[in-house]
Amino acid sequence: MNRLLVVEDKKITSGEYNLELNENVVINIEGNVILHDINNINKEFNIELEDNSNLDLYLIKKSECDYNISFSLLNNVKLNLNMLILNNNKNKVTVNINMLGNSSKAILDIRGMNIDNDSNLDIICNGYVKKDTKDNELIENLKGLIKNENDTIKISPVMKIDTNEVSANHLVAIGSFNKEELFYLESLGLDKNNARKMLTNSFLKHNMKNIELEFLNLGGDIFE
Amino acid sequence: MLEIKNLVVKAQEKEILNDFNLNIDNGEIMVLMGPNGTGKSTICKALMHHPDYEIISGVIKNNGKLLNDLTPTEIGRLGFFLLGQNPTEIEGITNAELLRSIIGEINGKKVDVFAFQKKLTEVCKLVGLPKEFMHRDINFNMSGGEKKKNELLHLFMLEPKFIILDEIDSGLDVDALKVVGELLKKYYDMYQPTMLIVTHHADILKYFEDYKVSIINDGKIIKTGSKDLVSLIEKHGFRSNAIAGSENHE
Repeated sequence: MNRLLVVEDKKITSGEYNLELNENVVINIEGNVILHDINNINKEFNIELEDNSNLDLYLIKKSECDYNISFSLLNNVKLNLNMLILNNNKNKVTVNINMLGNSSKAILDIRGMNIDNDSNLDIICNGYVKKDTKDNELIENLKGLIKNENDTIKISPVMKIDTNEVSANHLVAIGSFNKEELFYLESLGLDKNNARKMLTNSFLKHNMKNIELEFLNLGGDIFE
Repeated sequence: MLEIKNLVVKAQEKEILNDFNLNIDNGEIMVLMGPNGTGKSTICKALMHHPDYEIISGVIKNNGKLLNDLTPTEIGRLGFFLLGQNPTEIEGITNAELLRSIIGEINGKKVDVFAFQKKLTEVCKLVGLPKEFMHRDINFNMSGGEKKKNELLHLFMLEPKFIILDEIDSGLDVDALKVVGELLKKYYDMYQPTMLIVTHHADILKYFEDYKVSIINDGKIIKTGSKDLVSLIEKHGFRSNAIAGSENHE
């Protein structure tokens, strides 16, 4: 897959790229684009989706600091955001979606987990649908996995909807390992730690593609 | 031989089994029947050491080994296998991943991938699932019948010695029940496991030639007898005089 170095504002018209980003750049999407942003150190960037564009964005962020990403969608746009946040310490991740035109669809699948004990992760997802727009669809699926007693995860699904002609849904789930799933795996003979490891693995790898999976496999410690 | 003596089990602060006694010989099939809410599923979960079920007192032994304080993992590794009415779905872990991990862990060495794959393909065929099911997430997005077959796939791969069927026949149509019944019979003929079958109906039992029947009521066994008890129960119900007056084999 091609690497795409973005040092200043850039237009992408088609293709699949592994991004390398500078901070505070604006990426302009036209056409069908698939982007992978894997553990770049940028703290902030913006993506503008032009009319009739499609973007699938796969994003893994090992948070060492606050992080902010914004999307602006014009008309007849499709955005699929698959985002995984692996958090250290105390960080805030903000995702802003601005639906400014008509007939667009944004599906945000965001998952977060603390890697270190005593970490605090704050995920804010701001969805805005502009006044007088119509036929837009906004779906926010936000999940947090708590692995240790002293971790905290806070998720805020914020939706500011200025029109009646919209479909908007959000789902938030924060929790530890599912007790029934853990029991099921253990009762088949799996060691408790390995059962937890498999469940963590399944949580992290949800919706991710090969390139992200390779990255996750390198970070074996995060499954422990 | 499984020996359960004076077992008291609590779930959510409520005593569900009280002075529960049951013996099952190795290779024997014991059918457990009884009205709703009398503790049938509780004994299944308690035997597997589900964290919601607390053993307060009493003894569970298998071939002389005390099981009371074991973990679910240890119980599983002793060869106990629970096949429930609503198998747990786990998104993101495939059958192949799960089975390879378990077999590797139990044997303490890396799994021979070719031999594993060959056996898994054969078992898929045996239980009537397309081989693509080995790469499906565990019971996820499967129909009721597919889930039961998927559990049987695990059964034939792991070859447990003690099978607990907790109303496996519930929710199955006649065709699916026939497939499940025949597969369980096949497994029994191949491996001669000990079986505890919890059921409300006799339909699943017609696949087995001989078995004992115990009746549970209010958290304890009130009667144990031959397979003839099933027809008495079907005719007269659980609390009839006919049941009370029948011969107790225990």
